[in-house]
Amino acid sequence: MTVPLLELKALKKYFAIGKRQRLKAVDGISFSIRKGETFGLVGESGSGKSTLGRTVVGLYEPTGGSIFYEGRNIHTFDRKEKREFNRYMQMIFQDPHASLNPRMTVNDLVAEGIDAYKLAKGKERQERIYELLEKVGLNKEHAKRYPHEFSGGQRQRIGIARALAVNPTFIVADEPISALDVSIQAQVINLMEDLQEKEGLTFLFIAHDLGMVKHISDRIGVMYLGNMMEMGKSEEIFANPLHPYTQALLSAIPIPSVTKRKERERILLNGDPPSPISPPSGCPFRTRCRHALPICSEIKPEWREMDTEHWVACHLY
Amino acid sequence: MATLSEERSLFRPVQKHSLDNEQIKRPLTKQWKMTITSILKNKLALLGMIILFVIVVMAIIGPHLVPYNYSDQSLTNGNIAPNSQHWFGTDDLGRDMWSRTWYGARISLTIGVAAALIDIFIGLVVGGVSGYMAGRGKIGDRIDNILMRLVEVLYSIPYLLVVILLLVIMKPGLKTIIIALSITGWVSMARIVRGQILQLKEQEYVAAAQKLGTPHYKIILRHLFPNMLGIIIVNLTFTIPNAIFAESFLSFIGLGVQAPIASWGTMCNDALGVILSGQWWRLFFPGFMISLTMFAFNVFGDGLQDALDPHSRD
Amino acid sequence: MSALLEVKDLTVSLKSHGGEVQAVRGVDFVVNEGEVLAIVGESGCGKSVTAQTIMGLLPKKLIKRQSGSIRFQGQELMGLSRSQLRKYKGAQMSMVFQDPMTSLNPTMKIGHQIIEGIVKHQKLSKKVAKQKAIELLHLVGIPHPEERYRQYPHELSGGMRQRVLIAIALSCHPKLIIADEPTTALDVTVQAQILDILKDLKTRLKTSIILITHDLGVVAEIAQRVIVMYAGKVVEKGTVEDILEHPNHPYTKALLSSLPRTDAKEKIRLKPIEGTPPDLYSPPKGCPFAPRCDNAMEICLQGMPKETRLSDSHISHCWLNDERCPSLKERLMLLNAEEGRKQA
Repeated sequence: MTVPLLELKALKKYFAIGKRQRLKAVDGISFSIRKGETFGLVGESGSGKSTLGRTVVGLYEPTGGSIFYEGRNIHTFDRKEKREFNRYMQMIFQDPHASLNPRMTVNDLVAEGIDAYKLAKGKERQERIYELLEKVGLNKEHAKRYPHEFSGGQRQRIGIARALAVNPTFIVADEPISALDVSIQAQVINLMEDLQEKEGLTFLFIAHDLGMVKHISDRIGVMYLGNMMEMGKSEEIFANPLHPYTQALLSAIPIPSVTKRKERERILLNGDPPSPISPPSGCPFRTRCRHALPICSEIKPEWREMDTEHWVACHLY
Repeated sequence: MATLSEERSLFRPVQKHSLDNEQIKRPLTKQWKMTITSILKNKLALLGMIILFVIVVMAIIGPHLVPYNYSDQSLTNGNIAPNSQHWFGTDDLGRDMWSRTWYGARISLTIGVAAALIDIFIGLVVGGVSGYMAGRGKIGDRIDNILMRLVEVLYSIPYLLVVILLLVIMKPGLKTIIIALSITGWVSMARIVRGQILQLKEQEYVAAAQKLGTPHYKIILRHLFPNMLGIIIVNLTFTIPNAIFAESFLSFIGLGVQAPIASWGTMCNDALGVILSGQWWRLFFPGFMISLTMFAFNVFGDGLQDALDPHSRD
Repeated sequence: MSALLEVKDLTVSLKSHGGEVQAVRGVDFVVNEGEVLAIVGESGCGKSVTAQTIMGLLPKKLIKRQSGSIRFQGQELMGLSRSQLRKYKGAQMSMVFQDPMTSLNPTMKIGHQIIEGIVKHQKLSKKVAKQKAIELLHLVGIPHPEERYRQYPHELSGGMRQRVLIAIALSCHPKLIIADEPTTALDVTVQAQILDILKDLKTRLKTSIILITHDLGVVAEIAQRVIVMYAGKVVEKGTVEDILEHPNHPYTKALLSSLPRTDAKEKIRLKPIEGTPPDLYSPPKGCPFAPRCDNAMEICLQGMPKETRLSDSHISHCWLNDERCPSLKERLMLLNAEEGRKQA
């Protein structure tokens, strides 16, 4: 059995709100990601998926639990290893307007990582920058320009080039296409798929657009209020969703076809998601679940493997 | 016949040039070019800019346009109203008001700009460190707290008190005034800088820089400060007139620069004795210059703020 | 069904730093009573500017040029003064904006914001208005409306806030609601709830809705008729079946094939539309989609395509529909001939 590239064990991230309250953004998540795969993480606002992404990539320190990289606990890394690890884990951000410093040229933006990690110098450095720009479908001419001269899709591509510049192994993509036009989203998705093949990257793809997630991911995890509700292969989750939340989520996706719409069963969730500062006792979804049982408010359901690689946390099973 | 083949050619397929699609058609627009265009469109700001330009030019060449020095006395020619020889009249010691006014411009402007620049420098450092350290664990928060408490204490001390204290210790003069104004003036800048940094820190490009291995100092210099440039420059345009006014006020009450150095404030002070005897030119010229300069800085600063505000673009 | 709103040849150009932007270039469409018309397009296509022009919400100093006709219930709105337009704005037409965070005044209680419009347009007392407001909150599915009436926007979730915006839009019983991307900022489950409310309103109150969106899934959920906009022009319009099941214009087709399908059996590569929409500072004289179109022909670069009536309901603007245009097979042959000639 090969060691997974990344493994999370009971990972927690809490934020202190004021003196007494805590926001439990990520409340005990365990799963692993294999080298070369794309793991899709879905959830709605307040689910904690963005926080999980940032904790995994190293922007936040975990409050509890541990992260293992290639089998080793990252907490045990020495300074040099920590720095290397920081380089291996890169991120692509959501907002194409806020993820690039408006005062820097594209050339400088892409070069930042190369310079900080001293990966290349002089002529070689410039060639590397041009190479990266071409890899993402831009060209040399674009290097002297500033971010505001580009469209959203182009800016996202610059962000991808910047992340690739340091030769990462793992990229966390936090809603990389949500802010883009529909016809451009496909451009960026295709680019990511191509790069994954060529560069051997592993992706954690965080999004709320289930259609795109299904398309690009090998496996999917569904989060709700800081917890993982269900996890499994993409087709399996869509064909046979076990958790009531996953079922409701899938039924809410609008399909751009008049005929297909009519065939689908609609599950409407009532109310709004509760606050992550004071989550419900037991199963966090019980307040909106149409199958809620008394035990759901008492004990948090166990994370169990129901089928090959299909995990659920629900008292129904 | 002709129409048929014409038609056929009209409906001939055309190759897509995909490279063309990525090309940016608009010529390179430098950001500061856009800023300047925006200011030029704002008539009031433009007026302010022109006024300032004129004042600076006159401060340099003004005294040289007349054969009199700012300190040449001529007791027989005392208190002459403006005429063809003395465009702004003379004061009670017979000194040429024109020369003194523009010499005073040099003093007032120098003090104003110097104090403002020192303020900004200290404010940047304190505010910068404070803002960047906030939220970085216990030590960071502690540094932030200490610095902010210092800021609050200094903010509550009236600067007049500081000036008087300093005058007890140091000789009154140009240097003292500048130091006195700078010591308390930096606090508002520090607060603004800290606020900006707290906000900018959350930008995604800062997170990206951290992932890309950029050291802290570079993050502050490259990512945070350049994006605050707008606010800093705008603040300068308000701090300078405040410093000029403060100096004028201090000189007016006798705590500022000493004779024979003349600033607008001292000139106003000198004019106090003779207002009632109808020698309007003694108070008018320095007073008017103070007001005009402050007005010009303020409208220019306003226009600059509008021009640099990214939200007013697009 | 009579036409509630008729827009003919609407042209709007705006002032901006780089010059004049021709945001809307000759747009025609009709909204009937009790129906939902979706305006579909991506950013920069002119859909928001169109909506704001109809509502009279564009700041005067931004408008460089404005022409065409907007008829609401037979009354011409173009050229009316601000105060005359205001009569229609509150009472007959209202708008729901995209971002519920910034569309509500954070310092005013919810109830107050709802009754503002009621008191002004219907001249009712505060007491009666409050009663109506609570009814409206109930209508849009907000539980415990009396409590919510007294709350501030930040105490409500995004979905709730959007519902409040709809309640405000409904407060004067408008015949027409223009909803500009009302669900884009919301989670998918909340979006489903909001769309349900809008559908319900349409059936119960016979309100017409112009829904502006880029999401074709939302269009399928709620719209009866659709117009597709690109670069300031309408490229295709028809019923929702026409557009989604039998798209004619290459842009519409390309848009549909760039979407991933959750109902797809196997993984197929997405077909994006290469390139970016044209610069509206100097729009091309031909069809704006030509540079990105797989089927572009000479004539496409030279002039705008005429209107082709494909059925009673379905209209498309594309040279491919022209009767002189060769068939697909012939076009492929011509294309290959071109290639051959170039290589030789």
